Amino acid sequence: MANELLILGHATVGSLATLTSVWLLVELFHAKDGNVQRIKYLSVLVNIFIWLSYIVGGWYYVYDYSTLDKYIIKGSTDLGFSGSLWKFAHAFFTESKEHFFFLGIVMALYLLLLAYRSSFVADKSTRQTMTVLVAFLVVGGLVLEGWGAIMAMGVRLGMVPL
Amino acid sequence: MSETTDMDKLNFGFGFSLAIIAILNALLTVGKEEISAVKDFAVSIGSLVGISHHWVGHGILMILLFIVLGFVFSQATISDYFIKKFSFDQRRLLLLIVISVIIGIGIIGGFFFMLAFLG
Repeated sequence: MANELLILGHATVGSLATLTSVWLLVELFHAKDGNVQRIKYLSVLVNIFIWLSYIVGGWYYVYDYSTLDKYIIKGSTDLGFSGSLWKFAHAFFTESKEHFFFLGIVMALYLLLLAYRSSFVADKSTRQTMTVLVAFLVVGGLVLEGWGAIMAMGVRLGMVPL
Repeated sequence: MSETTDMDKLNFGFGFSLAIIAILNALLTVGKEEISAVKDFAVSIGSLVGISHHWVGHGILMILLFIVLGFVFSQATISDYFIKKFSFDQRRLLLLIVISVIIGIGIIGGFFFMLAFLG
């Protein structure tokens, strides 16, 4: 049960991070003095969701995925799994996803610094930097959500007894 | 006002740090897969917080390095040197970040693609 809640929680806060990033992107396209505070708050919110996704997903990855789900996909005679039809779900999608994720964290932290230290309404090039960072977070968030689904399908296709 | 000379040092330092981390993250990822000593090192970093897992150590290392390098490159002497030497302004810094991130993603994605589909 805890396993399922962790993975659902991870996907949910990850989706919220992506949705908040989309909202932030729109605010940045229309940046003016009136929405500076909202852009700052949204930058904080994006960070909160990404960090929550990191902690919840990391807990699942270390304590559940790495000890069971990975072997369901790869196959394990000790655990009695023949291996998933989609072995690439781990070999490519999990392995890439877990390492791409760190980029999202540092990008979000840099975004926060720019939101609170720069006058991005007047400074067009700083606003462009923030916009590009948030665009990376949106595209990356969508891609990683999809890859998470492929991982889940990899596990499902591996639930075949030897 | 010139953006080059007025560039905020913390902004430069952490932007530059982000560009470095994008590449370091990729190199550490490949290094962990190819060299067992690198993976053991990541595990040992993770064990500092009580979780002996290479991914935990990897994450701690990247986030701490991002913060440390950010402050290092924000130091006036260092940031002034880079900003003047390479005529850094916000646009050039953004270009560097985008190129580094794309290269970092390409290394990780390409490496695991080869292992998964061509290996």
